[in-house]
Amino acid sequence: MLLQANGIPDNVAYLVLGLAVLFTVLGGWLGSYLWRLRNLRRDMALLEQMAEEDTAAEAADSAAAHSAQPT
Amino acid sequence: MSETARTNTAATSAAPPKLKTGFWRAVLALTVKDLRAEVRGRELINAMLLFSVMAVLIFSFALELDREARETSIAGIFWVTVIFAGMLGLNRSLAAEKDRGNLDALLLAPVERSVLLFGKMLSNLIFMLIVSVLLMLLITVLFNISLFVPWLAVVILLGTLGFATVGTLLSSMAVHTRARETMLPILLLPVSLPIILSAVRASTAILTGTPQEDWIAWPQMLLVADIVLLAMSYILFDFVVEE
Amino acid sequence: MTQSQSPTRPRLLTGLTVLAVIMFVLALGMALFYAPTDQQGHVQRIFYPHLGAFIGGALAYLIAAIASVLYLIKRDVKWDTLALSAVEIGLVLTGFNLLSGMIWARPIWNTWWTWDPRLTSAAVMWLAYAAYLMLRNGLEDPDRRGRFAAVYGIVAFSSVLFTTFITRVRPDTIHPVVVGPSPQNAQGGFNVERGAMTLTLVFNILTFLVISVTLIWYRVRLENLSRRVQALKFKVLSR
Repeated sequence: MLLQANGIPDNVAYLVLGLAVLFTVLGGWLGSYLWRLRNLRRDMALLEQMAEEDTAAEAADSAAAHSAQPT
Repeated sequence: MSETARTNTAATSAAPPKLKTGFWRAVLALTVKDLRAEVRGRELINAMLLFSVMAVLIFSFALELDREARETSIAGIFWVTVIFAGMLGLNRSLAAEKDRGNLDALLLAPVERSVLLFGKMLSNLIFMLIVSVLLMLLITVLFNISLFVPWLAVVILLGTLGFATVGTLLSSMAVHTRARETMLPILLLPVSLPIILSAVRASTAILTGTPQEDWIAWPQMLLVADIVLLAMSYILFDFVVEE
Repeated sequence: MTQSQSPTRPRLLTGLTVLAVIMFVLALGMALFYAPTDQQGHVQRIFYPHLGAFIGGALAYLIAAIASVLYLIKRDVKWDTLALSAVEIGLVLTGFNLLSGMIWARPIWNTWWTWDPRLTSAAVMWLAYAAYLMLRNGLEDPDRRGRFAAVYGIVAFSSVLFTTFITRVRPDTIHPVVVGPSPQNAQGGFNVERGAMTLTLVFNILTFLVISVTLIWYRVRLENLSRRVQALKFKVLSR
């Protein structure tokens, strides 16, 4: 409003919109990054657990096979 | 071949020992094969021609062209139609080979891989040129604007050459994707913008009778774009058909 | 890139992140409070991140093109990862560049969008790289995906260069050129002559270059994690 006295148009609203877009775009990417990261970490934990169970089961199997061998 | 040269080729075992057929003879053979199949079946060229006629009619209704608007927008209509008709052809030309299992056979042939690129590019170019000639006739008759201008023919040749080149390269990739018919325009249109832009600007200027020094830069750019695209497609095509 | 193989974050990346955040805050602060108000009003301040984001995005696309060439030569999957990551960050940054340009154009040109060659070429560049991601999504075989994506990355970059070149050479653009002489038709130009403006501009450009590199690095690490998950999934399920 002060600016308009100097013949400079008042368009602060567009600057605010521009900044909002800046934060939306960067924040949007960051959000999608974190979401993908969380999903991948969860998958990783699950898969590692499954892999461990598998190896444990295998060990049990081979132990059973060994104990069964002598007879 | 001398003894040393023979051992050299043997040492670089990646290179085939001696090509049975010359490069351009093989290209020509492939193009002639496509054209001959087209003459017999006519599945592609008929579709392209019909599409072009319909597109021109729809444009003329949709845009309600008056006398002045015709002069300035006819080049755009011409190029959009040629490019979409060309895309119909590009979509089929490699997809047909892949579906019939010919692609592997063509790749097994004892010739350079890029023979396939240039052969397909030439047949696509010829189809697009046929469509262009028909469109020139149609527009000349329907819109009363003569498109038979020597410089325009040069621009059409350069424009379709560049488009067919990069189009063949990209359609050889698009046939392997899941949604291949939809993938080609998405890949091809943004990349061929330099060609479309220069061709449309040059054609409009030629048709509106602008002095030559104002538009001669566009065909020159078109020529540069063609050379760049040809060189790039030649180098990159080997990576596309590697397996 | 080799450090990024390790699951723990390398110290350099932590440093880069801190630097990027500090620079981002400073750059915005300079654009908003330090740079003098232009005759155009406050909306002109969005220009500093506008140009910064374009240059940061252009760097990302350049990295993607170089990584694509290197992938075709070396066939090391890390270059494929780098190309993919750089394209994604380039899309984010040039996306902001396009949007902020539209927001600036609304009060200055009185329209959100105009079919100016320079605007069109920027939009087509964005579409070409969006097509790059679509091409990747449409291919399942990793080897073929890497090769095709690299080929398209090279074709897209060269044609983007060419489009940019054409539209810069032709004088019929209304987009102002702030550094150097503006085209004769340019509307809404302003001069970055005063020291504070130049300093703000240079600092914003540097900031977005740092942001670009930092985000690409994070994206590379995400992709590496994704590949490890895929490999482990394959291992577990194939038992």
